[in-house]
Amino acid sequence: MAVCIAVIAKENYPLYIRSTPTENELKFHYMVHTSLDVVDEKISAMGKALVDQRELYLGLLYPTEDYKVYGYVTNSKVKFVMVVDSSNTALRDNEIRSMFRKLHNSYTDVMCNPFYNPGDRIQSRWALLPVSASSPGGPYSRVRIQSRWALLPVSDPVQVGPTSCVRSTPGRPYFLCPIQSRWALLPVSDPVQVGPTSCVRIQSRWALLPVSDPVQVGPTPVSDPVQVSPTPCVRSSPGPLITW
Amino acid sequence: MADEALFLLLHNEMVSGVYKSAEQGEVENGRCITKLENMGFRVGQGLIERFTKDTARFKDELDIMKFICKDFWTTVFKKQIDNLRTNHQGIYVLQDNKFRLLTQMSAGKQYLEHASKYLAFTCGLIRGGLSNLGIKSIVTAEVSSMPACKFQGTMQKGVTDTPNKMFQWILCHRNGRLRRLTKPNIILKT
Repeated sequence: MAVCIAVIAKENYPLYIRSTPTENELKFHYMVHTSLDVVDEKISAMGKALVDQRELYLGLLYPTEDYKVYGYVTNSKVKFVMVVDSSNTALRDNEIRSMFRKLHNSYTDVMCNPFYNPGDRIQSRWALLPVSASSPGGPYSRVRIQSRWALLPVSDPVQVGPTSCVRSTPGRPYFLCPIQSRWALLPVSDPVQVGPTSCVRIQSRWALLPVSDPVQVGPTPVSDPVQVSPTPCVRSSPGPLITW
Repeated sequence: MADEALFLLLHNEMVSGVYKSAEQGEVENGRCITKLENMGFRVGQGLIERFTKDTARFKDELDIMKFICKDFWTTVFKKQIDNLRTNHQGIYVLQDNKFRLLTQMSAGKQYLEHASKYLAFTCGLIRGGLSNLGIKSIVTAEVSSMPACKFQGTMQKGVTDTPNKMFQWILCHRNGRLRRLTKPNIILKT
């Protein structure tokens, strides 16, 4: 599953870089930066060797002990770099290729957006949401976030963001939006106004707070995704219950 | 393009629209051609991104020019550039026998003075496409006799990263034979 995705312009500055903030984000930024050298090496090697490998997909750039880094270069010299967790051995090359394909399609759409000036940072809300590898070939749309974060069994404590209390009742699923979206996870100390998302009803100690304007979140592919039993501390001050 | 007439008519309206707004003082006189060219530039960038999405990576400059002549021109104008010549030092000559946007206008010298307006967008298209592929260039146009037309390009920095040189590409046709330029020559006449 992709832990970090970056889109690098041809002048080697990032147009879009997002990572899951479970760890230090800077570490991923640094990894992407170092992978650019490998990308350049591969491009020039291909040119000299005149191999018939004139594909856009570059394959595995380099592995570290925890992560693997994959690369992809478009014809307009825009590079896509994806950092993937090594522990997930089920991830096959084909899935990575399809993820890059979808990324490329999204980038092409961004390019054709009249409000986007080529060379600027990509700030479109919809652009380049990561694709879940758990459903390879599943529909990718900017609305549907099929993220690997959905429905982690809460027996494992997971450090997410700056919040402290993660666990809820054992066995109860909870739902985390991918951190790549505009949603931040906040403990529910404040009553929260949440925008018009659909069918994600969470009554837990987590609130999904839009950082800016709200984003439509489509249904997640799990059978009983959204009903979460209310945990004791939903809100601290009387206010509207967080519902969508 | 699903139907070439669609783009042709839209393009004609665009040109007349820009000139009408010039008359009303929104755009300075003489900036219309620049405006059209800039439009073409942005469109070219987006188009190239779409078209090269599925193609293999380009080996070198010549590969890029071949792509422009064949796939790009076919997708936009439903025909290929008829002849591509190069001197392998950055001068490319592309020959188009019947430029689509001019065929409806006349078959000889009539309306010759207005032809440059209708070529500005295509100049920008080429320039934008090349810029997105990594080649900086300046493309200008010249018409001697409809529907023949001549696009002149000045390349500032090639994909091969050569130091500043001035190159030219020509798309031209004169009575079916090709004129080959042996020295850099920038002509702007209608």
